[in-house]
Amino acid sequence: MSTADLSFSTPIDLSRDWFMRRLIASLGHLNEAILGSDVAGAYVLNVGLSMGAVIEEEYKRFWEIDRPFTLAEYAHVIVDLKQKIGGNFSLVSKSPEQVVVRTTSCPFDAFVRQSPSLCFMTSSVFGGIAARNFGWAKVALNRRIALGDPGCHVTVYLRRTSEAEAAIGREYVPNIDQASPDIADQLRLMDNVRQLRSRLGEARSRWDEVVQGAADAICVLAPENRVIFANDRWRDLLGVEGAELVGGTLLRLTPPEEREATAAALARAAEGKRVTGHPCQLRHRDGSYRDVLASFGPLRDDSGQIVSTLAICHDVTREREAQRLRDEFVTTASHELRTPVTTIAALTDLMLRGIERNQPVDAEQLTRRLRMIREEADRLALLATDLLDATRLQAGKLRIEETSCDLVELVAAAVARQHDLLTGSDSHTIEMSAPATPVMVAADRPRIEQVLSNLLDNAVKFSPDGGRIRVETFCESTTAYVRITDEGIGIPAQDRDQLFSPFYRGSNASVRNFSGLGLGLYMSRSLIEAHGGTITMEPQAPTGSTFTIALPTA
Amino acid sequence: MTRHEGTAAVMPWILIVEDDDALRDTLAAILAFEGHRAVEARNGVEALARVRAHAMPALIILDLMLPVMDGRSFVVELERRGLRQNTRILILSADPEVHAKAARIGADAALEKPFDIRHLLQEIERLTQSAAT
Repeated sequence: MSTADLSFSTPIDLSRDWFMRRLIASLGHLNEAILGSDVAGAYVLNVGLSMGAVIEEEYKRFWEIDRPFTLAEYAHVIVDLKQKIGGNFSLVSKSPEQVVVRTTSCPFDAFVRQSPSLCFMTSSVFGGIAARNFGWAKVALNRRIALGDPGCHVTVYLRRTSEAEAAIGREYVPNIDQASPDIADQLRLMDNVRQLRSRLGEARSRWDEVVQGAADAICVLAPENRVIFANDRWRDLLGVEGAELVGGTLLRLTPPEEREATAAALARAAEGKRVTGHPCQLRHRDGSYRDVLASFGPLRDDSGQIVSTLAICHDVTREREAQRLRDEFVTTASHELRTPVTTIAALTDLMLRGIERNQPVDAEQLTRRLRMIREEADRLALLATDLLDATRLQAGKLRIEETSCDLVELVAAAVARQHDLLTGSDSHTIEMSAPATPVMVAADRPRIEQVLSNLLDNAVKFSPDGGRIRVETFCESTTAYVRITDEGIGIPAQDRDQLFSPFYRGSNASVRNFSGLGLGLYMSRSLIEAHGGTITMEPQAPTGSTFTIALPTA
Repeated sequence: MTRHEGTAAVMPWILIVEDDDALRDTLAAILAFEGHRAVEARNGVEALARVRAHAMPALIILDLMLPVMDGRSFVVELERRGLRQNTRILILSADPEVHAKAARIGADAALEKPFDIRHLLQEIERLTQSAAT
């Protein structure tokens, strides 16, 4: 067969660079003991065998074949290497017994300069592939290739013909048992490498599983704290993909005032110490900061050298926020409870002092003071009830006793009560709309009344004087609705998630002007949910809010 | 009680800054009963308006948790305007950390709500006297 048959080129990327890169990469697999005796020879043999295996794999993948090469395919591969790796090969002849290739230069000139024995590289690539595909091979060179060489013939014997037996060359076999000691060593080595690779692959997939499955945001930092790997949890923590973090630093996400402390913690990890529970903040994509507890630890290579830092960030934003609300509640509750107590105590003291000094009793003044004491006592009683209810709710001990009642009537009564509470200076108007027929629900009457007055109270409290409040009651299929809309100060977007949390009070400054324990909406939602209903809030444009209660009809 | 006599015709007075209507009324009644001149304000902004309108009070009885402008901001603002020197400040607060907070803002004394009226009067006496000397 002429070389013309093989003139086409396979579009596999086996550029010289690629080949050299693979070659250099494979140097890492060399076994020092084997190199001990004939360093260069064993080196070449090993690399040649390894590279042959890689080349074979590449071609088989490209041709999509899962069987030994045919003779034509084999010849194609070894001649095709001319284009791929820059050697100068041409096919002289091929038969089932032998393939002869002529070469005028070695693709590994640079290596040849260092050691003439490196010309065995080509032999071992050709021989290794042949032995694996045809069961046995022997490669013989009619002369060694050297720089400026006019060329030599490389003969690959595929069968043990008498000519093959007589030729001076190296035999190649596909498995260790049949191999000559030097080849057997190389094959064993390759086998070890294969096993190591597969173990490495397993370890890597196990690592992936652990790291991606973890609940915390994890990343690996190279020296200088650049992120070289980040898992998927960063999406939940900071709204960014892990890949987006790679190349940047964690420090740029910390608030400037915390940067020094976090940098110091990272430096301790880089020195080999473990840092656990380092509290810090990281900036979310939306610009807000998340509270995290970070743990940093060193990652070492096989020799024990620290090569990178593992950072695990546990999100504690919710816990911190709950703690902040609890702390704030203590302050608010102290204020709310102690202020009326102070008034009662001070007024009583004042009246006692008057008596001690035999001051004449002014009936009008006395009545006013006693009324004040009474009002403050009522205020305390109400707070005590709220606190007790909230405690019962949290302990799941609040009982709901449902009876059939008319929601229209309940709403009308609550609105009437709210009207009575509006003092002379208040100029709020409450508009009502409701169906003419009753809307029956199964409800614990006082509890629903409590929710309605909570919502109406909020609507009045957070609306300016003259504000209009709309209360609509209606029924759609099996659900009854009460919708309360105000034109008040509204609820900032960042507060909406927490609106129904216990102890929550709005973050807009003006809310701080209003008293309250921050339990009203929490209790309202809990009570409505205990009835199998829902309560939701929608902001109104330009200001105000709409709260909607939905209850199943009886 | 020591009072400025002679040419300084302005009688010493006490400013009460408290947002709770009932408590503020009560404090004013107590001060009146004891013969003090008291002026009321519901928050820091109102209080600033009062000190602008009058000469400086001998004593400011100040709640910390106030709407619009809280007690701490009010003290900071007084200092900024150079009005702090001849006035004593008594903090009245329900905050369990009232003493620490009062010390932080440089107040002269603090009482935790609820307080005994005798303690309040003792403190008023002590502070107005020290203001006059």
